Amino acid sequence: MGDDGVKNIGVLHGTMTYLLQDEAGNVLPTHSVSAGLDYPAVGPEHAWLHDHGRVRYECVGDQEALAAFHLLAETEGIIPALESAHAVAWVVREAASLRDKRILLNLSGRGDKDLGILG
Amino acid sequence: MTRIRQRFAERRQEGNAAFVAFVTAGDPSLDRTEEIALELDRAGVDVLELGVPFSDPLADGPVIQRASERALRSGTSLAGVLELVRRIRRRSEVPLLLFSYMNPLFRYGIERVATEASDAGADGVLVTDLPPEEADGWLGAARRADLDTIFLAAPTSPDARLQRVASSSRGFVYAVSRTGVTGEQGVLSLDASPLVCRLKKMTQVPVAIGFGISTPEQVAAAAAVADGVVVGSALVRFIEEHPGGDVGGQVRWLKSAI
Repeated sequence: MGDDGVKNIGVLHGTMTYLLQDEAGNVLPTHSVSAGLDYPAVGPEHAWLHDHGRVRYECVGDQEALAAFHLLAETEGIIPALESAHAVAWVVREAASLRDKRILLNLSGRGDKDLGILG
Repeated sequence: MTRIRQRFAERRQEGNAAFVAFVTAGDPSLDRTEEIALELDRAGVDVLELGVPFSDPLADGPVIQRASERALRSGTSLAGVLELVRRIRRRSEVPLLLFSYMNPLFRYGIERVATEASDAGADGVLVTDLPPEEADGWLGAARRADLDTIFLAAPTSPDARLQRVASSSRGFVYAVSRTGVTGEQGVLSLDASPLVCRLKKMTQVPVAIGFGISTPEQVAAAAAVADGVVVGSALVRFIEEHPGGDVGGQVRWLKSAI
């Protein structure tokens, strides 16, 4: 895997990938408002795409994702899944620098399932 | 010839099954595990499996999960377990097997852990979540350090896969009595016996049965069909309930029906 994280490579659930772990190889606790992202490792396909430079991965925090969730619901009437709301948040953050580009956002899931978490 | 192979050969010559005991290293402390190891040796344990505690013990049931958590809370790491092996080895010739998940070994370094485990006096390593298909690097390191490598065979495995498990195993093959995680149960699964027969047609390496064996009757039933019997959760539960208790007495009781 890439040079940026030999220390961060581990084996969990049958997969070698980037892993949140301590010095002894124990897995660290995680938190995300989105259950689907609350996991200490990265899917191996994403690790591969990252290593090959095909995809750039960015961070979005809980508050930014929640704000994007509300924004999309209020302006478009679309309730995104909290996972997808992270992508919406990134687009909101980067929109100004992408003004002349076409942006394709993969809204990968619906947020009806998340209303209990938000309520 | 490792101590594990030697001991299985001796038991086989006598017509007996080997008694393999599992405890989690560092539960409740590494000092107590050292005492337990010596007690188990005196009680006639043939192979002692020392579990390396891990944060995500996905093959284990609640009893060993709790033991793993207690051991981690007491500060146990792989380095501490290797030191424990060294301390036990100064005082005992009991065959020792490390039972670990892959990530602590990988993090420590595969070559390094093989060399240091062997130097400390361990005889083998079982990596619970390492399938033989992915084990080439580990097998090389373990062979160079003269460590036995034990793999798990499940009742659901087809013959081709059992062949691979058997041919990668040294010391013994660990036949898992049933699907699912470790833990005691009322009746020893009927899945175990055909699996042992299938394995014994494929390999000369001894076959031990484990998962769910917790009474003298179950030990005797497993000993009647296999070369070895592994008891884990039942001993770990005893240590949980009686941290300073007579764990050797438990082993004598479990072995009483063989």
